[in-house]
Order: sequence, then structure tokens, then C-alpha cells
Amino acid sequence: MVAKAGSSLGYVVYRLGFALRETGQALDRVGSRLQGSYAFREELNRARPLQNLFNLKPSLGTDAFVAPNASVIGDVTLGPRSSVFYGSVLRADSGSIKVGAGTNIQDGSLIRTAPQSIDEHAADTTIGANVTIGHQVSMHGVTLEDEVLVGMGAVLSHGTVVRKGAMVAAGAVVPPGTEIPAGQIWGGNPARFLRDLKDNESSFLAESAEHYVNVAKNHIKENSGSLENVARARGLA
Amino acid sequence: MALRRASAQLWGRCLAVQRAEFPGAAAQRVFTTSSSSHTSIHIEEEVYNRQRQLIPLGNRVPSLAPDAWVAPSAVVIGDVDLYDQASIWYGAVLRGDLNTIKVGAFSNVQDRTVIHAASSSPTGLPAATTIGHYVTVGQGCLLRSVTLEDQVVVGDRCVLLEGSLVERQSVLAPGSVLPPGRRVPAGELWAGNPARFVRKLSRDEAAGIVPLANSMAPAVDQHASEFTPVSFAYAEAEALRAILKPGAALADAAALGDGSAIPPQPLPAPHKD
Repeated sequence: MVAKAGSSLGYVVYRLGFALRETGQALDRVGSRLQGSYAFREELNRARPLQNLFNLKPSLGTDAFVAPNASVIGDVTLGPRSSVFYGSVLRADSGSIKVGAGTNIQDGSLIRTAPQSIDEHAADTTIGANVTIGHQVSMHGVTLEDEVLVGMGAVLSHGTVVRKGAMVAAGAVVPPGTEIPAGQIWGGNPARFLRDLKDNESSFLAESAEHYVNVAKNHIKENSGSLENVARARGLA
Repeated sequence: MALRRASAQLWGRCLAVQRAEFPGAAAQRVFTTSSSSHTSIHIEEEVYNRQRQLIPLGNRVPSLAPDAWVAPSAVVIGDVDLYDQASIWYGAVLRGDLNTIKVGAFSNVQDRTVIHAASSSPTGLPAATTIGHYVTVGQGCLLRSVTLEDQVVVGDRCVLLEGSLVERQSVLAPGSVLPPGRRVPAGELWAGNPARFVRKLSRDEAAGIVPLANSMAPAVDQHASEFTPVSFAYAEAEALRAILKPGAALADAAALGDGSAIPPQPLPAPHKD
């Protein structure tokens, strides 16, 4: 029996499921205590790469890659062949995060929605296809169109819109509500227009995304096996 | 009487499990981390990830209000106090190994923020990190030995250096860098690297700070209710052990109990910086 998304009956079933899980655990702990076993105190990492929040659950396109220590939480849609690299956090608890096909999000990047901001911008984040998001980028309620490149360590505040084929330079801090027109490069803190992209630079943006699709394939191969298969591959089983 | 004997027996068995000695370094290897262990680590044999939410460090122990929340991938180490309904989000690190860190009531520390405190400060400013009530610290920030008074907002990816002080109802824009010892007076907006005064906050903005902090509470409930109180990951580990060769590190670890066989690591001597 599966909880139906959104309905109040669904919520009751969901809470019932949680109560059963808790009760089962409590019984397991009692049993472990009787056996003199410390099994229940074992402290393994409980972080999950994919996590639902009641009826909000991440949906992954075919061949999407999520690193094992990334956190993709709530209403997140990852397009086909997109990738979320190590240590990134995509958290959609009060809005949605949509990531287009072939887009890559590099290590340690943060995309968050928030129930509220002090200047009332939308919290949803929409990312187009073939976008490259560099390492440790921080975004919050932004819209990126197709073939955008966001440099390493850039900060994009809520309400930012980056049009098709534009580039945000590394370390840039884009203030709330900024619109970056197509084909331009913006940088600095606060970010301002630097120049238009040259033709060879523009064509690189799509290449960059395509390159990371291939990189992600290798990571999928290495990370997708079950524990048993990994142990066998290592010659431990 | 019989009950007392039974309970004594039970405790005896528990202690026996704790004190049991285990032969071979291979058994220890599994439960040590690669950073400071005595035995060499073969990374391909490490199947567990032992990262924990709360880590006591000697006599420095995290203390949490019952309704404070720490995300499963966040780390709270050492002398850290979390007051009522404080929330620490995914991937954040609060490291109270050298000094105290306090996060006030209804405050939230967003994803991947790092908070640390130096053991002493050469300037005489407080070296502990103190965060007041109704404070929102954005994602990916770095705070070291700073003081945030009540109702402060720190934007995403700010860096706040030693001895800096943000007074009541002030806001740091995203991406700001607050240099050592800098004071942000009450009710102002600062931005840039290094952070500079931009303008006074409007009344509406100042009034929005507390609701902003409070708006995290339902999200905390949502996230917290995805996790049962106790981890069941060990069940998966047991299933894995069942198929492993006798010599494999995990198979030996089945006899290791709670890992108390590892000799305690000496804490590094406190250093001045």
C-alpha cells in the first residue's frame, strides 16, 4: 500500500507507516538489549543521496548521476544524463528544483529553496539543458536557461535570471533580481557586465556540458553497484 | 531479586562485549578512519562511512535542545550548544574543538556552512562563536570566532573572520567577506569584499527577519520525520558480512562489538593562532 501524494488519507497512511517503522525499531532495540548486543548502537552514516519529503520526491531521468555523498532532497527533477557531483546539496522543501538534460552540477554546489526571503522572490530554481555549474557554486531561487556556464565559487541570489548561452565568471556574486542577457559574461562582486562572449567561447559552453556527460558515465559505472557487487568486485566476497 | 540478578547478568554481558579483545589489526581497521589511525588503511576495503551527526571530543560534548535538528550529513563536534528549534542543515560543520560554539533559539545554519572557533584571540575579542536567537546563516558560509547578535541574516557564502561582530537586526548580503574584528552596527545592510555599509534596513525588511527564521520550522519537521530515531544501516552491513570471505576486513568486524577496542586517540595539544 502506497501513500497517495497530497491527499489527507495519504498523509495518515504515511504517518502510520512511520509509526510502524519506529515500533519495529523499538522492538529491535529491546531484542538487541536482551541479547547483550550493541548492534543498535552502531553508528553508520545515515545521509542518503536521494531523500523524499512526504509526497515530494526526487525524480531522475535516465542515466542521471547523483554522487553517493550528495543530497538530493524533495521536489527535485533531474533531466536525462544530468549529473550531481560529490558533496552537492539540492534541497527542494518549499519550492521545486528542475535540472535540464545533460546539465552537470559540480562538487560542493548548493541549490536550495526557501520558504521565505526578506524580499519576496520566488524560491523555485529552474536550470535548462546542457548547463555547466562549476564547483562550490551557491544558488537560491534562480533561473538558468540552456547552455549557461556558471564559474566556480559563484553566488547567485534569489530572482537571478541567466539567459541562454551567458556565462557567470568564477567567484562572481550576482545580487538578487539580476537578469544576465544572452551571450554575455558577468563577473565580480557585485557582478556586472564584462563583455560579450566570443564565438569560440559560446561554442565551448555546449562542449563543456557534453564533456561532463561522458565524465559522469564513468562515475555512474563506479558508484551504481550494490554493496554486495562492490565487495565481489574488490575480491572481498 | 531474580530481576536484579537478571539485570546484573544483562549488564555483565554488555560489558563483556565492550571489553572483549580482538586479535589482529585487520579487525580494527574497519572501524578506524583513514586520517589518524595506527594501522594502514586499504581504501578499497572501506565499505562503511562512519560520519556521524554528533561527535563528542574528550570532555567537549555537543548539547542540543530536544527540538533542535541536525541533518544526517551535518557534523556537530565538541563544545557546541544548540538552543530550542535551532536547525543545522545538510553538510554543515560546527566544530567546537578549540572553543565554544553557541547557536541560539529558532536560528538556522544552512547547508554546507562551516562554523569554527579559535582557542584564543590575540586582539582580546571573544574567541568563542556565539550566534543569537532568530538568526539565519545562509548556505556555504564560513564563520570563525564571530559574534552574531539576535535577529541577524547572513547571506549565502559569506566569510566572517575572527572577532567580527554583527549587531542586532543587521543583514550581510550574499558573498560578503567581513574582515577580522569588523563590527556591523545594528539595523544595517552590508555587502562586498571586504564588506562595506550599503544602507540602513527598511522597517519592513527588519520586521521580516524573525518570520524568515521561523519559516524554517515546518521544513525541519518535514525533514526530521523522514528519519526514524535509530539507524538501521547495521542490518545492511550484517547482510554484507554474510557473503564476505573470512579474511575480509568486514567479516572480522562482526566480532568487534561497538568499536571500543580501539585505543583512545590522544587529543592534539591546543595551539595558538
